[in-house]
Order: sequence, then C-alpha cells, then structure tokens
Amino acid sequence: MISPIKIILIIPLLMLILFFVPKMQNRIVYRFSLILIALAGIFFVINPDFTTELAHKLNVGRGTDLLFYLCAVAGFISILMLYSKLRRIEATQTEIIQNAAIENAKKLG
Amino acid sequence: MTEPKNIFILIPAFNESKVIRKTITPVIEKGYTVVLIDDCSSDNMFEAVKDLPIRYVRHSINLGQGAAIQTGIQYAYQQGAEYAVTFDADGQHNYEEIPKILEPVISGRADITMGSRFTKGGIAESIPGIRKLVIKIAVVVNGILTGLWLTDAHNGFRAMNRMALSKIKITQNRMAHATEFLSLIKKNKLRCEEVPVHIVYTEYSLNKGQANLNAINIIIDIILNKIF
Repeated sequence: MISPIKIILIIPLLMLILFFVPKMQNRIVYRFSLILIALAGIFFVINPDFTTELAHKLNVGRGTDLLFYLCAVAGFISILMLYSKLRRIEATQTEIIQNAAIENAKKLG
Repeated sequence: MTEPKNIFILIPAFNESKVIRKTITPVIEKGYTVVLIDDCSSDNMFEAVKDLPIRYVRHSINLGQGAAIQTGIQYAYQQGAEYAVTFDADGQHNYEEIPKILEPVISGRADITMGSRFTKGGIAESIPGIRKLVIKIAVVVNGILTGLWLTDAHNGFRAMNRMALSKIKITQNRMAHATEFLSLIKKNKLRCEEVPVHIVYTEYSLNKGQANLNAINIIIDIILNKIF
C-alpha cells in the first residue's frame, strides 16, 4: 500500500519527467539525467529501506543523511549550471546591446 | 602624418552630466574625434552634450565600464579610426597628455600604451594612501594572473593602434576589464609600453570612483571568468 506522503513525493518527480523533459529539446544528456534522477527518486520513495542499506555500504549513518548529501551536491551542480547559463545569456545580451548602440550612434553638434 | 580626426578618443560615461562637458570640450578643441559612450545614464547626460560635435553612442541597459569601452573600440574600428585613446569622463585624465600616450603607438614602437601613475615621471596627485596600496596589490595580482608586469593597474588612460583595436575584445562588462585588457595584450602578443601620466584625484572623482572594497568584487569576477 502506498502511503499519502509517498504519493505527494512521487507526483513532482513524475511531473519532472512528463513536463520538463519534453521541453529540453536536443539535450539528450540533460533529458537522460533528469529521467534517471526522477526514476531513482521514485524508487527511493517506494523503497525507503534501500537508501538505508546503501548508506551503510557507503559508511553513512542513515539513508536520510545520504539523500541529504546527494541533494546538496545536486543543488550545488544545479547552481553552477544555472550560473554558467546566466553568463552565456548575459554575454549575448551585451553583444545585442552593443551592436544596437553602434547602429544607433549619433553625430551631434 | 595622422590627422587628429582619425584619432578617436573613447570616453565611457555613466551619470557624469556634471563634469562631462568640461572633460570633453578641450579634447574636441584639439580636433580629435570624441566618442562618448553613455552607459545608460539616468542623469540626462545627453542634454549636457547635445550641442557638442561628438559621436554619441548609448547603451539601452547599464552594462558597466568594460562593456562601454568595448562598444567604443568596436565603433572606432568600424568607423576606420587609425588610433584610439580610452579616456576617463570624470576629469582625472589630462587631455594635454593625449599626444604623449599616443607617441609610442604612432611612431610604431608599440601597438598599445598604458598610462602609468607610478612609472618614472608619472604623478598620482592627491591619491589617498589606501587607494595607492590597493593599486599596488592589484599590480601584483595582475602580474600573477596575466603574466604582464606593469607599474600601474586599473588606469583607464590607454592608446591603441588599429591592429590592437581589432584584437581587443573585452568580455568583462564591469571593472575586471582592466585585468582582461592585460590578458588580451599578452594573448594577442601586442607590443605594450607604459607611458608616465599625471592623474589628478579630485573630490568628485574620489566620490564617483570605485570603492576600495570593490577590489574584492573585481578579484571574484576575474576568478569566475577563468572558471566559466
């Protein structure tokens, strides 16, 4: 029997697969990673004991701690990826503004 | 012999309406082509200069001094400038030193010259002690990061020939561009020479200029630029 909390946790992971993955066109690596993360998440929600087992094998006290560490690493990687994307967008924006400024340059006086 | 109109004086400016006229007017009188790059000022700087015979280039969004200089460089190159000089809008630089900073470039000894307050003959008038210390530290940081050891850092008074204009592509929008400038000189194997200049620190320029603590931001920007 799946408890309500498990359903609450599984729904956003399924949404990740159903809504966000199709939007990531031509990004096979990102798509595949997201599907994998979502499936692993669903698996851990359904089999919480497995995380504890895995944690013990990795010398981590509890399954919760292991998931917390993994989330911290995933969060840090996400921030780096977003920052990198932001830098690219900023560079493109700068180029557009610079080109527009040059095109609209005025001779005064 | 180069005609002054083929020498473009690039002046990046942000909210400098109080002093911009005073800075620009003597440069125009020398016959140079003045390019004012307005980095989306909100103090109506355009009104202060609209009757002056200058080229006016305006960013629609405030990007930072590095981006404004790059816009000026790109514009000067496209307009066929033979030489270009970057010049501060706040009145720190002396227009009478423009021929001096251009001389090594025009004579063909250098592709780019950098003004220096601390080389023999240079003067940093009324410079606060803490500012001098920050600049000295920046000189060492720049040397380590770029491999180009100069006597000054973050001095906006520079001159370039057309080849340097084509090679310099600044991507650091904000103040870290000064370090990037050195990296680009090194990367493109441009011949660089330092020229002693006289910089005057007025109350206005000190209030308007960078805070000393901004040096930390600049270092963070440089590191991030190396990573991403």
